[in-house]
Parts: sequence; structure tokens; C-alpha cells
Amino acid sequence: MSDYENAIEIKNLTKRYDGFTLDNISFNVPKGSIMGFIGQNGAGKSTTINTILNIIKADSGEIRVFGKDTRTADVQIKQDISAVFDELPFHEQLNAKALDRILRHIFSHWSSEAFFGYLERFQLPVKKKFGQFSKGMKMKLQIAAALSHNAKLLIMDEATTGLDPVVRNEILDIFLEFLQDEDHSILMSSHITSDLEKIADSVTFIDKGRLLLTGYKDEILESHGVIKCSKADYENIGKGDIISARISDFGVEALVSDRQSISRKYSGLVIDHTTLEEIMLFYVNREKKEWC
Amino acid sequence: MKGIIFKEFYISRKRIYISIATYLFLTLLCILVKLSATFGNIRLLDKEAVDSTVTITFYFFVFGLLLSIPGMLVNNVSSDLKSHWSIYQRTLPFSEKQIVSAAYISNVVVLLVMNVFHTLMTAVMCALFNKTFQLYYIGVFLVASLLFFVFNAIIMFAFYRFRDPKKAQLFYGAVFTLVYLAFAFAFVGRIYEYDAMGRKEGARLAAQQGLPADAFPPESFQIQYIKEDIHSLAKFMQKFWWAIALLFIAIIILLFFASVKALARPADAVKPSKEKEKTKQSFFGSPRRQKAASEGDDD
Repeated sequence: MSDYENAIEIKNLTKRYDGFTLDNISFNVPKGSIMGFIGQNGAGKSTTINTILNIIKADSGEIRVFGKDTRTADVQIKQDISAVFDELPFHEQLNAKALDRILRHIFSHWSSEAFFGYLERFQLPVKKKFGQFSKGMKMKLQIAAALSHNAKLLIMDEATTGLDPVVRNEILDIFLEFLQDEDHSILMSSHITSDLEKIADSVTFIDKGRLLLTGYKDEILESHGVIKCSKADYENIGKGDIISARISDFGVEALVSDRQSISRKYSGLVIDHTTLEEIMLFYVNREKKEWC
Repeated sequence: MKGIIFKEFYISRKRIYISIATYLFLTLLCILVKLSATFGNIRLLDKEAVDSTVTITFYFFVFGLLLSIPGMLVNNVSSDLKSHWSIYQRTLPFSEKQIVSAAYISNVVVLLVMNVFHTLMTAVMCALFNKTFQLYYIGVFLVASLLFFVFNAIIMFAFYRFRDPKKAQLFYGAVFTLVYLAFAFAFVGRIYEYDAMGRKEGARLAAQQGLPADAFPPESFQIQYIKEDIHSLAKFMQKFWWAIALLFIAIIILLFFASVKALARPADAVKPSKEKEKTKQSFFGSPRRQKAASEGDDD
């Protein structure tokens, strides 16, 4: 299983719903890396993740995990995958001790020692029923369970949403520890782009079911930039050179996807470095081109 | 698969404990009746009343206590849906066949243990109540257990098929109502038959004895007919319990494969209820997240 380059390979994935289409999505999650999967609500992040996990069936396209087709090697692959969802998927009457006994018999590489170690680290009670856990505790519990069976791939759907910054930071550190093993990879969908900026190696951005950007985070951040100028200066910029522009009483902010060539083309313009959040915001409004 | 079986028992453990406690409590009650019939107040009644009390108590134990078995059966598909385990288990290294098998194996284990235990307890009660242990009891226990299993398998299938508690309840409610109506119509039809047979027999006897035609009302024969029917049914059960057991086993196997097929459908193959569709369309996702968002707990 080790002779694969990408932990996940998605080619031309299409899934049609009434009123929504995940349209021809293709991207790879390289082995040993963490990919941030961003997009607004309803963009198709969960649909993509659910098709990777075979929870829903794709209409067309190919998904390979660890180099194997998920349609044929589903059960075999899942021994090495951990999934974390935004809702706790364990019964409320269970406690950590019972969960350990269940998962110990499910995953061949389950480590009770690791599981209880994470519980201690997260300060989670062992005997308290999950029904009495707070949102943050539930999420930490899921992550503890996900990291305790020596999975090679961690797939998270909005796993850090609803957690306070301290806990999120702690969890991000754990993900970085997890990635110390070069066989380990993470696909993480999140609205909190600052988290992804902190830890992601690559980023995939989808909107309304279509892939907008995929690539190394540093390259994306390096190539994109935000022009900050007056309305008069903005009028001189070709509309084809910008993704979209935010116009306010104080001036204009416009996102460009090729900072260096724009800077050469319009000398004297201030083009600032940007963030994933800004990129997301400007791309989402690309059809309007100008917005307030 | 061991993990899922453990989970099934762990989730159902309270219901199982309550059913075991009920079984043991009723067993104790039966023993107390027998002790009272031998040494206590019941002994003071006339012999016929004492004998019939002891007999009724004995048969209540042998057959009546079988009704505590359904409470011990494992069926957590509904709570799996509620807790999102049903989605999580799709990410686990198991096939749909293994997941359904785990639920079925859990039930087979419960039924086997209960059958062996109830057979042993019946043997003890036979000794206590001075009754002969009849081999067909084991057949009846098996048939009753399989019948409960069939009902449980129908419920499980409904949840696997519809993945929506309301729709599932509607489905198995309709199935059970149909079964009930079939038996109710058969019973009412049989009562009419008793009436017709009673009229015929009454007229025959009246003609034979030179009495008026209405001298023997048809109701006076009903009890006799019912007794005869029960006797025939008991005889049929003694003779053909294995055939009924095989029929139930065949139904269970069919339901097993139907459940595997139903579970194998991807999550989006099931049309969400209108309530869920509304939730999906909302900007912040689930109502809980909407609430969290309104409280500033969402990003």
C-alpha cells in the first residue's frame, strides 16, 4: 500500500442533485501532506467528502485512495481511514470506556493506550456519557478516536467548527504531530481559513459545485494579491485582470490571481499579500465582479 | 464485527436487564403460587381449584414467559440513525453484509441463550409442579422465538430501507396491522362458522329429541368448538412445529438479504423528508448549528 504518490486522487468527479451539481471535480491530496478544502456552505465540500468515503455514490468520475479504487477496495481501504464529522456519531449513552471496547474490535491497529492518552491530553472524562459532553468535548472525542487506530488518512468535515481558539490550536498541533509520519495525510474541510493557513500544505477551493482553485497553499497565496486603490485608479484597471472588486466609500479592493504580472502591467499600484479568507470572498463574488 | 456486536448489546443492555428482571420476577411469582398451593392459603381451596391454579400457573410459566423474550432482542437501527452512527459505520472497514450480520448474530445469541435457559427452567418447573416435560415444548419455544425474530427483522429492514423513523414506523406498523387483520378476519370468520355449525347441530339434536328447533341455541356449542380448535392447533404444532420453524427461518433469511440490499444503497439514495430538505437549504446547516450561529458559536 506504500507505493502511491497521492493519498487521494479524484478525477472528474460528478454528482448531480436536484438543484445542485458537483461538476467534474479533480484534485489530489499528496501523501504526507495536509490539504485544506474550502468553500462556502453548499459548495459541495461534504458531497465530495461523502463520495470519497463511499457514503454517497458518484454519478461519474474516479476516486482512488492509497492508489486503490474506492468502488472495488472499499472495505480494505477503510481500515486505514479516519473520518471526523461535524456531529458526534456515537450513541449518547456510550462512554469513552465502552467506545474503546467497541473500536478495539473494529480497527485492527486500534491502540487503547493512544486513545486514553488523547483523552487525558484533551481532559475528557472516561466514564461520563457522551450525551453530557459539550460540543467541544464531542469534537475532541471524535478526533481522539480518529487518531487512535493508526490511520494513514484523516478526512475531516468541518471538524474544528464550533471549537474555541485554544482548543482549535491544540488540535492543529496534534494534526501536525500526526503528519510527522510521512505516510500520514489529512483532508480537512473548514470554514476557518486561518486554521488552514496555519497548517495546510495545499488548498482546494470549490464553489457552487465547481473547482476554482487547487494547489500548494504557498503558491496560491504568493500568486494572488489584493490591489488597494482609489475609485479613479480602479477605473484604469482592465476588468479582465481582476477576479472581483470590493467597492466602498474609502476606495477599492480588487483580487488579482497573478500578482507579479499585474504589478508589472500597472506599475505604481499597491498589491498586498492576501489571505485564504480574502481569496474565498473575492472568488465567491466573481460573477458580480463588483460588490460592496 | 465483534465490535459492532458489543455495541449492539451495550446499547440494548438496559432493556435486556429489565426483561431478565421481569422474567425472574414472574418465575418467582409462579414458584410462590406453587408453594402456596402446597403449603399456604391456596391449599385451603377445593382440590379442583387448587389443581387448576397450579396448572394455569405452570402453563403461564412455560408459554406466557416467552413474551419476555422480545424485550431482550437487539434492534438499534433507529438509535443508530438518531446518533449518526449509521453514517459513521459506513466509514468503518465492514461490508453491509457484515453490519447486518452483526445485528442478526446478536439476536441469534439472545434467542439461543434464552431458549436453553427457558428449557432448563421449564425442566426445573416440571419437577416442582409434578408435570412431565414434553419434548414439543422445545419446538414451541423455538417457533415463538423465531416469530419474535421475524417481527424484529421486519422492523430492522424498515429502518435500513427508509432510514427515517417515521417512514419506518409507518411501514412496519402497516405490516403488523395487516398480519393482525388477517388473524382477526380468520377468527371472526371462524366464529361465524361456529354459529352455522351450532345451528345445524342444534337443529339436528332438536329433531332427534322431538324438541322445538330453537331448543339448542348455537352459542351453547361454541366452547366445545373452540376447545376442539385449540386441541387441533396444539396437535398441529406438536406434529409440524419444525415446518413452521423452517418457514420463519426462510422469512428471516429473506429479510436478511433484503436488509443488506437496503443498507447497501448510498446515503443519498433515500429521499430526505421535507423537514430535512428544509434544513439542507438553510444557510447554516442543521438547526443546532443555526442556533449556535445565532449565539455566535459558529464561524
